This record gives sequence, C-alpha cells and structure tokens, in this order.
Amino acid sequence: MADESAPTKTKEGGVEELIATRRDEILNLWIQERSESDEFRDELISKKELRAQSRRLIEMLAGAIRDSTRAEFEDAAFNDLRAYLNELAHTRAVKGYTPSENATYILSLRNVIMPLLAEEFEGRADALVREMNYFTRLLDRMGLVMVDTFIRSREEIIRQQRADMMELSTPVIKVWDKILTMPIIGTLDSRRAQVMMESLLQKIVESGSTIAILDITGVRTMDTLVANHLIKTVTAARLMGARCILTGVSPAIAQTMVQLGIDLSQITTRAQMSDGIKLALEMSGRAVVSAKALSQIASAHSAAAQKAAALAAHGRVITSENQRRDEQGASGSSSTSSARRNSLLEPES
Amino acid sequence: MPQSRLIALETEHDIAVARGEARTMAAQVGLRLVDQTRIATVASELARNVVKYAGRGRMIAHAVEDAGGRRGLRLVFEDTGPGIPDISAAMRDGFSTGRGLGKGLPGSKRLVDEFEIESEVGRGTRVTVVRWT
Amino acid sequence: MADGSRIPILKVGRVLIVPIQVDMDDRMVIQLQERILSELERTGARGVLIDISLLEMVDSFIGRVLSDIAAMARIMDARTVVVGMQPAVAITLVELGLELRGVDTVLNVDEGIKLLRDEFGIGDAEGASPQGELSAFASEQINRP
Repeated sequence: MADESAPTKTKEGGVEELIATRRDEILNLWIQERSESDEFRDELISKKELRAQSRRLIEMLAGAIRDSTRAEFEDAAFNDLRAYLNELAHTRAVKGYTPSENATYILSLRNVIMPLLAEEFEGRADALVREMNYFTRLLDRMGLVMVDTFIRSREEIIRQQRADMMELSTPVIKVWDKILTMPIIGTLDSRRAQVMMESLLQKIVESGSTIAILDITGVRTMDTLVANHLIKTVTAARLMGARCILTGVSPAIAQTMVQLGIDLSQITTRAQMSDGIKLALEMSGRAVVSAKALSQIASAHSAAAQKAAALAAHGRVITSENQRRDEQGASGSSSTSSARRNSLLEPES
Repeated sequence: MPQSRLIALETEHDIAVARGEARTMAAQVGLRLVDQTRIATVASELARNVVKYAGRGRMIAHAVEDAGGRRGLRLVFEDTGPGIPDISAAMRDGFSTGRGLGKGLPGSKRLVDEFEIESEVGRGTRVTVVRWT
Repeated sequence: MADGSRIPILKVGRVLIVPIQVDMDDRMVIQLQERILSELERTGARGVLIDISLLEMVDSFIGRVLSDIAAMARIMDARTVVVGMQPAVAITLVELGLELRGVDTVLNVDEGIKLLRDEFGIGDAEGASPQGELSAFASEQINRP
C-alpha cells in the first residue's frame, strides 16, 4: 500500500531493514503460514517453541545481513546463523521430521517476505528486483545447509541404531561360574565379527571369566576375513588370560577353513556345544558326576573314615594314599592341584 | 576442537606426549575406545622411530573429514633423518622373538585404515596414517 | 615429569605386587624394570605380579620390557605374571603382532595369585595360613575402582 501514512518505508536499507522494522508482523505471518500448512507437525513442536525458533532465526538473519553489509551467505558474519541452522536441522532429524518438512520451513519464509518487499519497494523496480534476488540467494543457501546437516544427522542416527542392533544380536551368556558362552547366529560379516569380539572380551573382564565357548553352530558360511576375526578374538582372549573353546564347526565350514589355509591348531575345538561346556567345566577343575555316584562316594568315604578312626583308637597307623590325602584335606592346608582335580561339582571355598 | 596439533619429537618423553595428544584427538574426532588405543599405540611406535632413528622430528595430527562427512584422524610423522634405504625390507620386518630390532612398520600398518610412507636416504622420512570413524 | 618411583612395589608374602597406574614414558619403564629386579634381590621374593588393568596402551617397547622382566626375574628364581590386560590393549597387541614371549598373562589379581601358588608353589611365608594376607590383598585389589 503506497501511502504517506504507511509504516516507515526504507529508502536506503533493504530487506534487513524490512525485517527489523516489521519483525513481529513477519513473525506472525510466518507462524500462521507454517501452522496452517499440511506439513505442520504439532506433535513434534509447540507453537510457542516454533515462535521462539523462528524469531531467533529472522533476527539472526537480519543481523547478519547488516553486519556483513549485505554480503553473501559465505561471509563470516553468517557463521552464527549457519551454526543455528545446523542445530535446528540436527534437532529435527532426531525428532523425526522428513527431509522436505525440514527444508520447507526455511523456504516458506520467502512466501511471507516477498509480498512485503513488493510493498516496501513499490515504484522502485530495480531496487525491488535486487532485494528479491539477494534474499532468494540467501534463503536458498540456508535451505541447502539445513538439508545437508539434516541428512548427515540422519545417517549418524542410522549408524548408531545399526551398531546397537549388532550388539544385541550376539548375546554373551554366563553358563557357569567363570564360564561364558557366545552363540553366534546368522551371517557373519567383518563388521559384526568386530563388534562381537569387543563385546566378548569386555564381558570376559566384567565377569572375571577364564573360559569362553564360541559356538558357531548357527553360522552357515565363513570367509577368510571372518575366520581371521575369530582367530584374533581367541588370541586376544588368551593374551588377557582367558581360554576359548570353539564349538559347532559344521563339516562345510571345516572344509572351507582348511581350503582357505586357516590354521586352527592353536584353538581348542569341539563338535557340540555340550562337549564344549563339559570341557570347560573340566578345565576349571570340576567334574560332572551323577547324584547317585556322589552319594555312593560319600558313604564309602564316611565308612572308611569310621574304620580309620576305629583302627587309630586301637593304635594302628594308616598310611594309604587316600587316607593321607583326606587328612591333609581335613586340616585345611593347601594341597596339590591333583587333589583339586578330584573334587566334586561345587568348587570348594 | 582444534583441527590440527603439532608435537615436537626430540626427547623420549615426547613419545609419551605424542601418544597422549593422539589419543585425545582421536576421542574428540569420535573414534571408539578400541580405535583410540590403536591410534595411541601407532603414535607411540612411529614417534619412537623418529626419536630413535632420526634424533628429532615432529608429529602433526589433523582432524579430517571425507566427502561423505565421515570423520577421521590423520597423523603425520616427519623427520630430516637418515631415511630408510630399503622400504620394502622395512615393511617386511616383523617383530622377531626376543630382542628383535625393526621399526614395527608392518604392525603399525595393521592398526590403521590408511598407511603411507615416503623416505629418501640423506633427506628424511614421512609416515602418514589415517584412522576413520 | 618422568618419575619411575611413583609406581609402588608392594610385597605381600613372597610376591612383589606392581600396580601400574600411570602412562609411563620410556625412562620410567626402564626405571621400573630396574627397581623390580633390585627389590627381588633385596627381599628374596619369588613372584612378581604386574597389574596392568589401568594401563591403556602397551606398545612394542613396553611389551619387550615385560618379556625382559619375566626373563630376568626367572634367572633370579622368581616367576612373573601380568594381570588385567584391557580388551582394547589385547586387540591392539594381536594386530601389532606382539607375542609377549615368556610372560604369563591372567585375567586379574585373584587368578594371578592362584597361578603363582598352584603352578609355581609361590605363596605366603611358610607357616602362615594360605588364605591369609595374599587373599585379603587380592580382595582389596578387586574392589579397587
């Protein structure tokens, strides 16, 4: 409305003056335009927050245009604005906006500013064209920044989710005191093998386990890279002081490994996981005995002890190997490791 | 976060400083713990080579980013020392048992994603390594 | 500031316990090696337990020194065990191709004491109860943050 009584017209300044002098009006129009549009996600952002963000944005924009004396977006005066746009884009990526919703936010400011510019510069066609072009250039750059950062943030989020998924897909389970097992299922790629290795080693430290059973019953194919990762895992575990047992090697994988020239001679292997568990128990000084056999041993022991006590009461000295070991055990002194190996299922304290 | 750091390598204490800086920057760039350890170890090995074989030199650490926005850390070890007469032999030198000598280059190469070595007898050596996130 | 005497060497029974808590430069590493050997001589200890659970990096230099300590201690009739290697360190050592020849490595202090006792018969002084000082010290180490 070209009129003497119209709001302060800018003669010398350009779009930044427009924004500065008619800020609230622009803000209201922009918010209204946004919240009425199809894309407005009122579940992701409140009107109040949108207003605060938008206000900050146009103020920074006007300020940067003024400080840079109307330079292009690459100028250092726009750095703060650029940083803010990155922040907004990242937040929107995390919140789950779509890429187009993200860009439309910025570009919609054009719909608000353009008519107002036409008003301000009515009758000055050259100046109007200059302002519109300048503003359009800035806005396009801003839109691009938002898009780039948005995409980058999204990729980062996806990467993180994939990492989390990988960790969950290979649990490490404690089967006994100081014995862990890691059942590996599905296709192993180099990346997953790396995650598994780190996860296993970490669990070994956390649980103080000295034996880890790696079961590959569920692994259908294997290549050199994955096999090397397995060997690396076993070697690293040994360096840390834990022994690994590889179980569930299928005939197909055994063939593959030999054909690839992979040397498994340093690794203990067993066909079935149950064999691996049995071996692990034995390695940690335990034996699996039936309850019946246990009670038989116990009663034989107490019978022998009574007999020994009776004989001792009559002045005879018993010198058999078993008796002597029992006496040592009874007095609690540290015995040889062979005695420990004959102990029963539960570890002595 | 600084984009580059320069560490002078002259005394054996500088080796420890260099690997500390390398680890710090590795963390800042976003490398995982295992990779930070790899970087610290590589820095230690290569910095020691500089101090031991050339007497003095420097390590320059750069935070880098590839075209896809992936971040990484580049370490450059340079000296104006005697240079390596036979690089391929040096790259073949593994760690032998006991008191093996050797620059530990093949081992260092396995710890990083990119490894480049330039050397000229009488002029000096430059080793560049990169680890990506 | 390189000061090899910042690392304590404790004696519990017939075992020297060396908890490495700082990143050591090359000079500190060598100083530590010398101190361990001189303590072995001075105390007549028969076991050395080096705790590296707080060591975030082991490179070829430190690896070689650990091997050397084990070899030299052996000559002095003492056995060495290294405990508590961090996973990241273990992975890096494997990739480096470093073997730590001659060094027994176990998971933690508890396992280290068991190894010294069971395999090498090194424990407390004669007459003391076997589950005495050494075990109490071990529990204390495990509970250390």
